[in-house]
Amino acid sequence: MNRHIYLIFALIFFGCLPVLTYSQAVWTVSSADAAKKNPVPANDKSVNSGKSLYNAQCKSCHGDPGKGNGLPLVPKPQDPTSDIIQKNSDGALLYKISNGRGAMPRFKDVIKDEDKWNIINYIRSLKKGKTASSETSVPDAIIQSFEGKVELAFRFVDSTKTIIVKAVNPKEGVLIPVPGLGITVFAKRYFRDLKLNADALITNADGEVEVDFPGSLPGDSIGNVLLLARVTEGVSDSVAVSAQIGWGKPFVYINPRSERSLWNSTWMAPWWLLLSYFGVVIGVWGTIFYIVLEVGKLKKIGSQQAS
Amino acid sequence: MNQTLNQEDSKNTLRKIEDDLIRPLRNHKGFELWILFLLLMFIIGGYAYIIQLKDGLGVTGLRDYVSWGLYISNFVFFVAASLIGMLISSVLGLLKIKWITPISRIAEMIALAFAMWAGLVIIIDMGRPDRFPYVLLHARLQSPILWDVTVVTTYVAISTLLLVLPLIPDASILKRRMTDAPKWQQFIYTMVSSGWIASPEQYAIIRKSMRILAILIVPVALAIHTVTSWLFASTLRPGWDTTIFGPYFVTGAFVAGVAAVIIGMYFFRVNYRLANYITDFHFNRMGQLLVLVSLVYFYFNINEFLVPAYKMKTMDVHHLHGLFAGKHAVMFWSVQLFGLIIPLILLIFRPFRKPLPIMVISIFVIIGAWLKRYLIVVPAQEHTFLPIQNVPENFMVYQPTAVEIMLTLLPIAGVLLIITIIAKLFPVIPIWEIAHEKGVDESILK
Repeated sequence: MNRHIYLIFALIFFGCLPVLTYSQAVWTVSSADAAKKNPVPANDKSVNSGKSLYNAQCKSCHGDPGKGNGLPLVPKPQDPTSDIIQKNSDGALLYKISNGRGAMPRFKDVIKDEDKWNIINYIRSLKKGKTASSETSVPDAIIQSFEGKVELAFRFVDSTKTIIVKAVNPKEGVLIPVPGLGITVFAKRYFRDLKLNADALITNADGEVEVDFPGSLPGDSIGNVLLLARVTEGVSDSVAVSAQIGWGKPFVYINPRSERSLWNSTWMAPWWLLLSYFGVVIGVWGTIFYIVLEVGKLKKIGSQQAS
Repeated sequence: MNQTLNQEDSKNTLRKIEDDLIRPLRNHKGFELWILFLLLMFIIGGYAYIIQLKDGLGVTGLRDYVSWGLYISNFVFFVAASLIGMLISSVLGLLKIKWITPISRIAEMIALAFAMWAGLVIIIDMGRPDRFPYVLLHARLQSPILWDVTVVTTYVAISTLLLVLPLIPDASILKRRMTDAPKWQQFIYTMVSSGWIASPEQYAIIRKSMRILAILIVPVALAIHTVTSWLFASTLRPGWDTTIFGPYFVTGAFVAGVAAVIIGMYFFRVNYRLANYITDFHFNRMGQLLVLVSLVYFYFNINEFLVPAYKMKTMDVHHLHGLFAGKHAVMFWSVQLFGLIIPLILLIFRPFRKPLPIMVISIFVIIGAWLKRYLIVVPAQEHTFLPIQNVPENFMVYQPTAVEIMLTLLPIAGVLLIITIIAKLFPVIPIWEIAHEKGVDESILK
């Protein structure tokens, strides 16, 4: 028994060895990799897309940005707002996301390069004390509570099938844009509505968010889709707006029970089945009744000849 | 044998036949005891049925996975045994094979009794028999179950006519001879004889009707057992999902039915002292017929088991292993050996086709046929496509309970009771057809 315990300890020690080694080593990135420039402009769309990807792929280990609640692994997955991550060049971040190390997986073939740059743009947007640059109007964070009244309005760009939702605060007859609100756009369907953006989009300085209309989304028989925009972060959920747009694929619903089939109700059975069943039943039982009538004749003959 | 006798000889020959065949109807020795025995079986079965009605199907071994057990096995067996009426009196009759005359009524009685009870066995399997009318009220034409109900009903109707039509001239003879019988019995004879006066027109009607029915019953009888096989074969279960189930069932039915008729022949030959009518020659011929149908059935068995066993598809493995070497192996190999292969080999030799040996062999064959239906119905349900998880132990294995076994006695007693009553009211061998074969003048057959 004792020997087994030693064995287990030995296994645990050697099992942890590579991890311990990693934690002490410096994560070096070649100068060529580190010098790579981010080709994707850090606009709203890229940052929002990066946010969705971060939430889907990174958050489970690195935690909520700014809260330092990443998993207690060794080495510790760092908070994306921390200096340890932020002091990396864009190229170094790309290299590290792509190749991973220890418990950090390789995302080289899992996430497209363009999406990796979106994530990096998102990570940069989280940088503490970052001021709105000329190329991006993303606010630092979602405003915690907005006191005034908020109204939402849809605007549609037909050429690119883009949905724009604008949040405004009507004050003394003037509509003031509200930045920093999290907005989600839904398409109305049976049961739960379909989210068109996975995570809430944050309104920019103009109080606007942009969502692409998915080309494959089915509409009603003439392609109409009922859209719904709702403030899901920043103020209460009750602020919403809906509008109908004819961008969906026309979808004509054919009830499977309107056609004759084996799975339909009895009288909607296929013709061949109805005909063969009733044909055989009527044929056979007709013959049986004919025989019964013939037997009836026997009696008639008997009584006729007796008299 | 077929030349016409003169008036005097005709009368004497007919008198002799009538005496031989009507004598058993008056001789009640041991009859009460037999009826008492059947009634006892009836009471035991009835008691079990009351328990089942009161407490529901929970008193059986049927659960979520194996939901068709002994009752459905009984149903398939009963349908199988009923098919013999078609083979003997229709197929062989249409082929103008003469030796079937004395045994055709025995075959018809067995067919009708088993077919009638097959329908009732299904009701025994229903937890709520009061809902039986729903099968028709809420019928689904697409369901093989509805086809089965239809075809069983049709077969019972045709079998009844095929039994009753040849009874008409006999009933007329009985009306004349059984003047000392109770009033109700004479009333039955009068009703059945339907004004029979043996006129040529009446003969023409009887012969034509029987010929039509003999042709009509062939497809209906094939349908009754083919549709019964479709209840299984129209599913995807390993062991049931096979294209040869129709002919496999039909040939299996012939084996069971021929064995049943041989047992019936032996019983009536000994108890009704009919050795002069049901002779060694008839047993010999039935033995040859049993060899023929057993060979065909053996051929289908090889196809049914060898082909899947050669491929061993993932799901078939569990099923076939269970039959060949697993929990059903003893029953499977016993049925194949003692119910099919050994009888088949023995019956090739003439001495085994003598009345007593062939009767004993037939008992083995018919028990084998019954157990075979159990092996077709139950093991296939023990292997589901989805894993069986988190269920009570008794969901996974099926074991017939005492109630099911007791309740099985009810239809068996019912079949024997129907045969007994018909054989007590009417001669088991058609008097007029035997007389006709002996060349008796047709006009005096009344």
